[in-house]
Amino acid sequence: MKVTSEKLPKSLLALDIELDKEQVEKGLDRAARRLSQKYNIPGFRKGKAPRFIVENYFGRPALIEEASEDLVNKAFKEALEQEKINPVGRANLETVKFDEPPFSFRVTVPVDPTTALPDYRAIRVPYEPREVTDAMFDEAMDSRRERHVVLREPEEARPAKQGDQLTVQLESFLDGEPLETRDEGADVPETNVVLEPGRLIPGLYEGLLGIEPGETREITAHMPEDHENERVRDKDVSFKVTLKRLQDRLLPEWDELPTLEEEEITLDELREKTRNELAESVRTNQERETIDAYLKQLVEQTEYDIPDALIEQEADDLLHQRGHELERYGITLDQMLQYRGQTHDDAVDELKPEAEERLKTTLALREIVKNEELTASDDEVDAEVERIVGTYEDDQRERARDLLSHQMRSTVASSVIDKKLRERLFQIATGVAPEAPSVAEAQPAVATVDDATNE
Amino acid sequence: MNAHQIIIRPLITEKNTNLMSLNKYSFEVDRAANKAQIRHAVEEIFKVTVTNVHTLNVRGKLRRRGNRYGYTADWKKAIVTLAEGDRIELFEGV
Repeated sequence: MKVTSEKLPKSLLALDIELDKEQVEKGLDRAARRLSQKYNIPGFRKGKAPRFIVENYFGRPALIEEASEDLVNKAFKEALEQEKINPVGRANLETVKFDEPPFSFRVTVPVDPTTALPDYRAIRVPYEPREVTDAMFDEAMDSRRERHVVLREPEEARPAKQGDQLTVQLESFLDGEPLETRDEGADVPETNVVLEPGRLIPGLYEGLLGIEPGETREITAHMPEDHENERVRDKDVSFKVTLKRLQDRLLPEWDELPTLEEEEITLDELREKTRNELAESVRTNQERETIDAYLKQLVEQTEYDIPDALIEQEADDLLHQRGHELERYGITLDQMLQYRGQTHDDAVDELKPEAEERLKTTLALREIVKNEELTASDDEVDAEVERIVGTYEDDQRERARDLLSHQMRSTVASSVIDKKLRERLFQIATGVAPEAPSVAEAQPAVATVDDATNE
Repeated sequence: MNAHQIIIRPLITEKNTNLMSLNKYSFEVDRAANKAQIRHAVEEIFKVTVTNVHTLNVRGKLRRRGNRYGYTADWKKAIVTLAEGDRIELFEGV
């Protein structure tokens, strides 16, 4: 068997496969046996007619046709093995030439796509470490306190003042038209508002000051230009508000807060803790933003060669993943598709751009992991296993440890690598990454492995 | 009688294909033909040497159509043995 391969764009590999004579003959023999089993040839019981009789009776072309599928499949499999090709999708049969020897055919197979990374180490994302401002800190502390608010009915009815919790029926109108639609005759739903200047639309706050229980007021307020609802931006909206209930909001004293949070620490320590948590969340958020921005640039600059088959497969995977998510809400994928009036193929098509994007990111990252020689050593994986085990309840730890360190070890390992990768990407994006391993290639390879384990 | 009148058709059946491995070929022949005539006819048509001829008469089979009975025609079968190395291409085809 002779195989010649040729690279085509989009990571397709074209294989020209030429079959040996014996191979073809064998295939024809098998085909003849099949035909004689299937059809009646006068003078013979089914399956008993010898090859030459079958060939005479049906003619050689028929025999070849019968044999070709089988032959192509077999030869294709052998060719893949011979050429050590690892296909990533379904092969496509282009041409078959079986009418005269030498018998040959041509298939195209999608193979692992090649990814040409740009100088990914040169990509920078502007990074300005954000500090925790006093305003942010105060807000965090306030919201901690806010969580422990106690509502109490005032002893006697009184007009609303700042800091009250109001239960109101609120309707809003733009140019006399109601903004919200609701069923005919239904009651205006009640909403809770807190009468604080920063927590209500300016205008509405002033308008509500002094409102008495049962009173209905009409208030017109000018919407800010950055309001969420585009229709009302920079417009005057009138509200019709009826106060149903008024409650005092009793906020805990600051020194009561640690006890309420069920922590045996002083207020200062709680403040410190809040500040640290805030700093941590600011940092991780910013890190994520930076990495996302970096990835966007990376994907834009990387050259890909992705076979369509792979994208389709990814889109399919994506769809099924969605399906699993839906199942948690008790809907099957099929029901969902039916509801949207889509066929399975439509849905896959729709997901293709997203799938391509995801695939591109994955491929680029895989390439970077390779280039940066990021690995997870056994010790690191063990450490990660222990960390995860720590999050389980005591009585489940044994089982979790067992599961994680055996069946799921590879998953844990990849999460370790993933963590390292994020760290490295962040370093690259902000320009503080250590030398790339490729630069230090002069060192023996053993040293890099050691480095990885010592980290 | 010329050769083509004597040899009516080759018999290609499972049984006869198996006989071919013994270099024996079967034909339907004219009922009036004798072994010598068959030998000459086969030699003339297929350009081979015949070493032996066996013949037998095949009785017609009873057939029914509606409530009438009749027989298919009787015929003569000849099994011809060829000299070693000779073949008849007609059976092998191609």
